[in-house]
Amino acid sequence: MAEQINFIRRRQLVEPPVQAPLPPDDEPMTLRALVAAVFRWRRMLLVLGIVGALVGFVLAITKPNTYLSSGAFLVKTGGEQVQPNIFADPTKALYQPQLRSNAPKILLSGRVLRDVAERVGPEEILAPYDPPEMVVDSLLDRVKNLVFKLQSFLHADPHMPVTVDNAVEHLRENLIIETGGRDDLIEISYRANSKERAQRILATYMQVAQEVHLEVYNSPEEVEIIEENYREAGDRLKNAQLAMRVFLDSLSVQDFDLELTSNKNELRRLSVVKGTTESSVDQKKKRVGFLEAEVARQPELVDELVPEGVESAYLKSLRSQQAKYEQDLSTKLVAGYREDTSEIKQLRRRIADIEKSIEAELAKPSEDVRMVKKLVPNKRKDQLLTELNKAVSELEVDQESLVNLQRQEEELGKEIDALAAHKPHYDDLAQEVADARQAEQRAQILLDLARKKQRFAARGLSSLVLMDGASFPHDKEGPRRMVLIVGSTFGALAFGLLLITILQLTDRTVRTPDDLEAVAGIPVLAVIPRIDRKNLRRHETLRRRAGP
Amino acid sequence: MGSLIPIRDKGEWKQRQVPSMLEECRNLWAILSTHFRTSAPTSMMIGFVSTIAGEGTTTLASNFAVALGEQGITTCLVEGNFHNPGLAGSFDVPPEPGLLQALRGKVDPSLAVHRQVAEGLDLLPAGGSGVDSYPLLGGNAFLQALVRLRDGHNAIVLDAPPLSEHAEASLMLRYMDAVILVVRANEIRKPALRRSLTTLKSLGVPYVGVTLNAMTYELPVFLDRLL
Repeated sequence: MAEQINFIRRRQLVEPPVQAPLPPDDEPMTLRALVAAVFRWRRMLLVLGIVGALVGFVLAITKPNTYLSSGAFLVKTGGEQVQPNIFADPTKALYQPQLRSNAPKILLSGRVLRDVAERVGPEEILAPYDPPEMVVDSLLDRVKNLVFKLQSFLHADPHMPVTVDNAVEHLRENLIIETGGRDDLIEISYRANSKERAQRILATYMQVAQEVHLEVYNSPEEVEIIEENYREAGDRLKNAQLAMRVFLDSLSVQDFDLELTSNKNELRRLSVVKGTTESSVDQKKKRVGFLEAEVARQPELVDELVPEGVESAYLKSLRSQQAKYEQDLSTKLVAGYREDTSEIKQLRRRIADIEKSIEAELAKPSEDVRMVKKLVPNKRKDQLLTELNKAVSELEVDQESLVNLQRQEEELGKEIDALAAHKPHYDDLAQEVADARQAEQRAQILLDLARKKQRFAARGLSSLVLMDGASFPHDKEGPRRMVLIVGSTFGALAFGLLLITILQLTDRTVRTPDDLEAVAGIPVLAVIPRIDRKNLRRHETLRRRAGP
Repeated sequence: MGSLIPIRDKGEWKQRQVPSMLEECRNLWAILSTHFRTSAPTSMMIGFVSTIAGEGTTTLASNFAVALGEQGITTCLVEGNFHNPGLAGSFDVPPEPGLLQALRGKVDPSLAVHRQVAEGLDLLPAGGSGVDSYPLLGGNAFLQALVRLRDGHNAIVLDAPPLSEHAEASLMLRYMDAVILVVRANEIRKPALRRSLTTLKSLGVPYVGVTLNAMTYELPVFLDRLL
């Protein structure tokens, strides 16, 4: 029988159905699914919106009106900077950021608030909300009166004792103090359920604030202390300057740094001059050596054709040229030119040419001149001797100068070493003078400020200058009822949307053919709508559009 | 299109004219027929099963059977769900005898069949309610009943009990040529569905597809087009 059934099955099915592995179950949430979830949970969303609106409405009608009275102080320095830690940076003493930042703290201090509470009276500050009953003209007035009564009932706190402490706390809660970034203006506001009360309390508060501010910054004995400090700073400066003077006198200098610097510069200059002189001495030594050798080489007497009679002008010119070239030759050789250089060779050639010309000129028969060969003193040697003497004397001068330079250099070095040895002590003294001068300047600034403050205090002036007195609030400040209702509604709707998103994220229910196909991994053969009018009509419409 | 088909409405079976349902069943047969060698096969056995009760298996199976009968395919609708039977009431026939009596051997299956409950459709009701049929399916009784029903019917449509609730579902489905898993939208969770599919796969049952029942269109038309 079973075989028969199996046979039937094999016969019936063309091919076994696709039984692919099940797809993974990690589909991301799509926008479509989210929007569908919103429509699915639309009733919940609607209920949440209504509840939110109702809560907002209840809040709006139960919150009583509040009125804000405002005023402003201008912070104008009266020398108060003398008290904060001004030694940190004296250049900032002339500004008043610290005073400005201190002011709100003083304004909200318990002392000011307590003074206000005592002066105004805690029963006034803590007075219960009591709106005036309206004259009933219409149904709206009746409703308003009912709302007022409800507000009074809800905000009455019969258990709160009317004490100064509670009044102080109430003041602190309802005072608003605003200081603009770098402005010197401090804006103060006070919130109350009654226009008159708001103005009255703020006016008293501002008056008390001015008085307390003046008081806390006023200290009569302060000026004396600061004057004493100023005197001490002056004495310190004088002592430091005196010590410095004594020290400089002991070194016989007017200005230590200048002296040391000029000595170092002089030493550098001497070093340069000494180098130049040493080089000059070396050159002159070479010249003297050369000249001595030349002199030694020259004979005492030399044969010379001596004309008897008168020499022609041409001959004189030749001799003059010969002497000039020989002089040049000597100079260049002393300067270190070698024999094989072109200049030396050229000079020797010219001298030889001139000698030949002279001999030729002398060999010419002349009526005026007759040449006679004689032993005559060597003129060249005489010249060289003269040059040698001159060079020796110059060398001696340079050597003497070099010795002097070395001596000066040694003396200057010793002087610099002595000054350098005293430098640490000098630095300490200079630092002490600078510190003392700075301290004296600070003390001077503080003294000026203290005197200014003393003058202010004497005239009863506070640094908090009243710019605007407490204003009378004509319009209510709050509550913003429409904002409360709308905000509450939207808040509830946003919460609902968040809830729906979370529900959708965690939802693993099969809802659509796509869901089914994604989970099953096999085709969806038929989709049957829920049997109700809306879904059946929609299904029919979709089927007609899709076609057969 | 004019046939009255059985619909379960608020817990009671009624005969209603629902064109969409019938049309979907006709489409389903059109798709299924591509899996078979001929458009008019002999003795093909198609099972409908769901994961949990109330997913619309009976409704879909009976409507599918009506659609087959309309086409001239002699069909026998077998009610295999002994835990919540309702087809006898739906087609207005006596609940007994039925499959239960046939399995117990008290009656021949062909004699328990109610003939022509609809055009071209015979019905074998469950024959009892709240009966544990698991022991009866252990032997060959169910197979023999199917073989007997095959004679004289071109198609046998089985309305099987829920897969995750009653183990006898798997015993019945193993003889089917094709099994269709019925899923009710907005009811069944994905893990349960995956478990059912895994069970079918492990049984070696030739499930050919799934149908989504009672689907709701949540998005308005314009948003549906937009998204």
